[in-house]
Amino acid sequence: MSDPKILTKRELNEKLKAQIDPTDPSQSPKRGGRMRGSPAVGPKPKNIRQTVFRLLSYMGVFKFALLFVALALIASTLMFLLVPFLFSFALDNHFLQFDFEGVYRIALIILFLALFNSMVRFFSRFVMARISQKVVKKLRSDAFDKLMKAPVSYYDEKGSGDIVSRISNDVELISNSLGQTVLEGINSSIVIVGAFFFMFYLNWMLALVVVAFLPIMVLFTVKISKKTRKGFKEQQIHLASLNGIIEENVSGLKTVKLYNQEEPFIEEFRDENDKLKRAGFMAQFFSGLIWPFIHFMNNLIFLTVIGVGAFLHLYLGAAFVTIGHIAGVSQYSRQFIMPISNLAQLFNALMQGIAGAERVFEIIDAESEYDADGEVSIDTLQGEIEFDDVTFGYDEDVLVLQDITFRAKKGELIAIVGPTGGGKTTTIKLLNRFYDVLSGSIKLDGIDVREMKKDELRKKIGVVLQDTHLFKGSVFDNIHYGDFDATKEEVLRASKLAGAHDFIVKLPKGYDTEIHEGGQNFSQGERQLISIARTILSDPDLLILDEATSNVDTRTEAKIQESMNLLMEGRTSIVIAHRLQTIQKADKILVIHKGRLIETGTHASLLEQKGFYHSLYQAQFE
Amino acid sequence: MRRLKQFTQWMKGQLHLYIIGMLLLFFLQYFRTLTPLFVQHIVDTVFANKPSALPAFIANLLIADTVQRQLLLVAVFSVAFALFRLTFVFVQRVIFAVFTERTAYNMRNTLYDRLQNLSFTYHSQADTGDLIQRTTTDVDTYRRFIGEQLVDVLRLLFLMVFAVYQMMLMNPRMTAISLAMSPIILVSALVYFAYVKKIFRRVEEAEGEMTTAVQENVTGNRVVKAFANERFEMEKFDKTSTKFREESMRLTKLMAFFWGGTDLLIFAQYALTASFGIYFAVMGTLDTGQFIAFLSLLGLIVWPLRQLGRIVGDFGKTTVALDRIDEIMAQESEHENDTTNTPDIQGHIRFENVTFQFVDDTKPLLKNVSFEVHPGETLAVIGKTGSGKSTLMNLMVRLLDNQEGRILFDGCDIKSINKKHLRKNVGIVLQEPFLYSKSVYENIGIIKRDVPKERIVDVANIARVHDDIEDFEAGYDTLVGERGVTLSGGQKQRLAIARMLLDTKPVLIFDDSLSAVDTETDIQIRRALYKHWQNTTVFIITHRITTAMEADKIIVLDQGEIIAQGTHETLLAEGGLYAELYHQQTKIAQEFEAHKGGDEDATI
Repeated sequence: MSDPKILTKRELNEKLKAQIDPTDPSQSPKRGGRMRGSPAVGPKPKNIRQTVFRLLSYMGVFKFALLFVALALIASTLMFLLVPFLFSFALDNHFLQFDFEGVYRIALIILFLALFNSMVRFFSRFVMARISQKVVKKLRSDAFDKLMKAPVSYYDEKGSGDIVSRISNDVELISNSLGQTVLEGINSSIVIVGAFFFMFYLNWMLALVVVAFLPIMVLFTVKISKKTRKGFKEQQIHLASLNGIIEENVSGLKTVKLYNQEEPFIEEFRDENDKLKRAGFMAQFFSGLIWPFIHFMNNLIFLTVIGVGAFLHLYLGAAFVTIGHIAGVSQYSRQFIMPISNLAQLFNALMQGIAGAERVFEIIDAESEYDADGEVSIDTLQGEIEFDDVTFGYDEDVLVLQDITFRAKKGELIAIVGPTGGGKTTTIKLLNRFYDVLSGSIKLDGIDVREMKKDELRKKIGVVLQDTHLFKGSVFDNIHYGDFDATKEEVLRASKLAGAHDFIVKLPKGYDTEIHEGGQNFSQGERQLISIARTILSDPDLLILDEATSNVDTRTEAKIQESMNLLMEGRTSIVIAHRLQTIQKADKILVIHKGRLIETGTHASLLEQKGFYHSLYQAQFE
Repeated sequence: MRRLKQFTQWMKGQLHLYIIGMLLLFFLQYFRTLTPLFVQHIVDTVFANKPSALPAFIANLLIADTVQRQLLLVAVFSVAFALFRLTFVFVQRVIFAVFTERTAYNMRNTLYDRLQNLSFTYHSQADTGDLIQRTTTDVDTYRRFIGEQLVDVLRLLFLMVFAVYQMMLMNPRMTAISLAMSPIILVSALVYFAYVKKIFRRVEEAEGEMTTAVQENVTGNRVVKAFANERFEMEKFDKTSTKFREESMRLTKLMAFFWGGTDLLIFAQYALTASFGIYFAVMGTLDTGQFIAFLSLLGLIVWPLRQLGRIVGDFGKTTVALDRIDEIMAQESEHENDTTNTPDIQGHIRFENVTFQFVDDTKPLLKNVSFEVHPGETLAVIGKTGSGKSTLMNLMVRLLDNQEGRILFDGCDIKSINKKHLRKNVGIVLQEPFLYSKSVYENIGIIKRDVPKERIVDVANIARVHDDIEDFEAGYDTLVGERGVTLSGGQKQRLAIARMLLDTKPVLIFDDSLSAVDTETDIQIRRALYKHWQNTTVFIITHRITTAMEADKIIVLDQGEIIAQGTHETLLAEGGLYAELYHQQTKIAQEFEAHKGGDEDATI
């Protein structure tokens, strides 16, 4: 479970394997495999009706195609059900009368039906796959688009793992449900109903014999299915924790060796491995049981029908039971047993799909931060900042900032200092409206930020953080991210200004070097330089900087500082300051402690006050 | 031959189970092909008095004087027969389940043992994810192969062989006709499954790209928003999701054509068999019952053919997995041929012209390093990143072995000392300590698992981490590590020091292990430590001059060589790199923040 990507790949594999042909009897032993592939699902769907209707509305565009598929499928299944009937008819009316012309005629009809049937299946499967993929793509796009518009607080609340899993795994679940469950479901139900009908139509006495076996069949298959699912679920859980143990110990191997801890950890592993073995056995055992059982029942019913039929034929005579009846009913009895055991599983798959859809709809229904957007368009910002009695808390009960008031004039450098966890970072998050104030107001150039258009506001505010996020793609693309309208020359210029150019050209592929997910193939310092270049390119009117604190070597540190200085020139800047140089240069220092602005002033004036800043300064810099 | 050995080596001790299972499987398939013959028996023998296709030992049991009695016999017998088959299928399943799970269990244990005991050199070059995959996914591939795929293939093969055998006994000419399409179906299945694998991979890749796009946007959503690039990201995502859809559609098409096409072939086969069957029946060369039996037996052959193609296509995966597993097994355990020499270690350490180089490296990491430390002394090793400081430490606990020169502990070459013993006597605190997904208690007590809790609180106090722990929601019971609370670098380092304090060791190494702790706490901790470890030889590896300067002796490393050694005063007087570093750092120290262990996650 630790690696979501591996899991989805395997799930996909399983899914596609299972998708190969749901109606092909030769695939029967693979059922167990499909159940294994189904991911561990969370809570059951809450509002089935509503979710189903909503899914249907997504499919609405394809209603004619869907109708066609459904009708064609019903028709073809019914026709296929005719085969044993025809067979039985041929046996009684032609074969036993040695009327071989009649036999050939019927054989031809059967052949034609089979042909037609497989064509229809082919097309309906095809059309259904197309529809389900289109629907799923639409769902996925809708969810992703909403995600892009969701406020930052949404991400805080849900956690990235959950969101990613909804868009990848849950959507796949829906696609599964739509694509095959529906088809298979229609098919199975018709086969069951149709087979019953024809059996009774042919010979009610023989049909009753078949029906008598039904309760045992259903009872057993449902029971075994349940056990199997439980087994596979347990197997998954133990496999996941086993993976966890290995991962932890391989990555912490140095520690294991240094502390001579090989033996205890091997013991731990053995315990978990043992549990996995047991769970695996149960899963295999039960999943292996279901098909032999069904085969057995199939044979039993088949033979019973023949046996009873033969007796009735002999004792009651051909008027009551013909040879053809025996042949027909015995064949029908084989056809509807598999669909019955299928239906139980299909129902589960359907529920999983609906539960998945519910989780995806939750994203689609999330609030968009642009719904209640401001009206004021922003072309340029002068950079006058006013904080008036700003109070904020992520949770309304726990205030992180209280009554923060300060002003910054155009081009000024504001340094925020204070102990960690005091609210420094939160202050700057309010400025570009990642969060909105609870009370008080923040004004830029005299306009409340809440009245401004969010995206335009954010474009005008540049943010450089300690730990920067880079995207998968080339170095060039990542800098270009700051302004997609920029030319190649402008990108290079920004990179040079940021001091990133030098190290980039030394890379094996220069600007075309690929950045891996999360930028792990670059050092933190390099990532920061790239992100500064990105911000320079975006040419913001107002800057928010968070100075580096650690893990950067001295030389890179100096370089970063240099580029940051360059970036701040002529722009109003708010810096979470860690360096003496910045603080000394600042036009104004805000000392934030426990969510309150406790001191304001310049370096010199604050030192003179001999207040909190003074002691902070002494502890940190002397 | 090599493959066979590779394949069977994991079954040792269980092979008999597998063979029994296979034998059962073999007979079961034979019995399965008898079922259609019962119908033949009824139609032909009971009603028409023609020869039965059932083997004599069964047919003889079904002889009776009246038709009614015969029918009753057949009915009773066939039910009993079905029950008999069910029982054996059941037994066979249990045998295979026991066998495969045991095999996989042993395999995982063996691999994990091996992994734990492989040398550090191996691990430093191996990729963690890859190793995990070998111990779980590759084992699972093999497990599925022996437990499912191979069993399936053999089952189908046995079934087909017996089905053909039964057909041949009845009518060879009809048999040939009934098998006419089989080669085409089989070949098309083999070709299809070989080809579709490629498409599968492309679908997987497309899906991977799409998932990455989501993942990235979720983790980097603040950046997307900060640049107001939502629109761009939506379009980017749309591209990846369209590609995924197109690839899946291609796969779907391919599948539809294959399954649809082979369906047609199979029906054609049925038609062929049926027409000829009727013709032969008319001619009198085929009995009615035989005809029905042929149609049933045909089903046993043609439907599974496609599946056979799929399973055969998967064979390759298993050999790849086994090769990957064997790669691990081929590595030698570092404890396998270790000495049993466990001398008493006092802490007198001497390096004599020690040189170390990774085999595939062009430059040595350490070159001609010589120095000496006496018991109870403190030695500081200072140098820039990449100067060889950590290699020095790794050599002392034999995570790595030096190629040239000698390292002597109390006059004894460490290569002649048992590794585990050596590590027991040398304590190391790493720069980035590893925490297990266990409670804080367990993490501190990892070396001595049965130490009382008071002792743990004690050492946490000395390491100045007690207050931090008390601040956690569940205190000492808080779960840390990958699946628990994330600690700051400084907290981790202090926790690791606490671990070390549970024991007294003759030699202790601090590998830059206070780098994330602020200078003041650093000094406090070190003072406390010196008191605790008065008789211990202490190595301090650092790039912080203030940490190094109090040591009895300082070694300056640069590019693997000792360029100077002495005390703080002598080195400063000498000038050179040490003095340079000193001036650089004191200058930085003046303006640099001190709360390096700052815990606020500055993420906007």
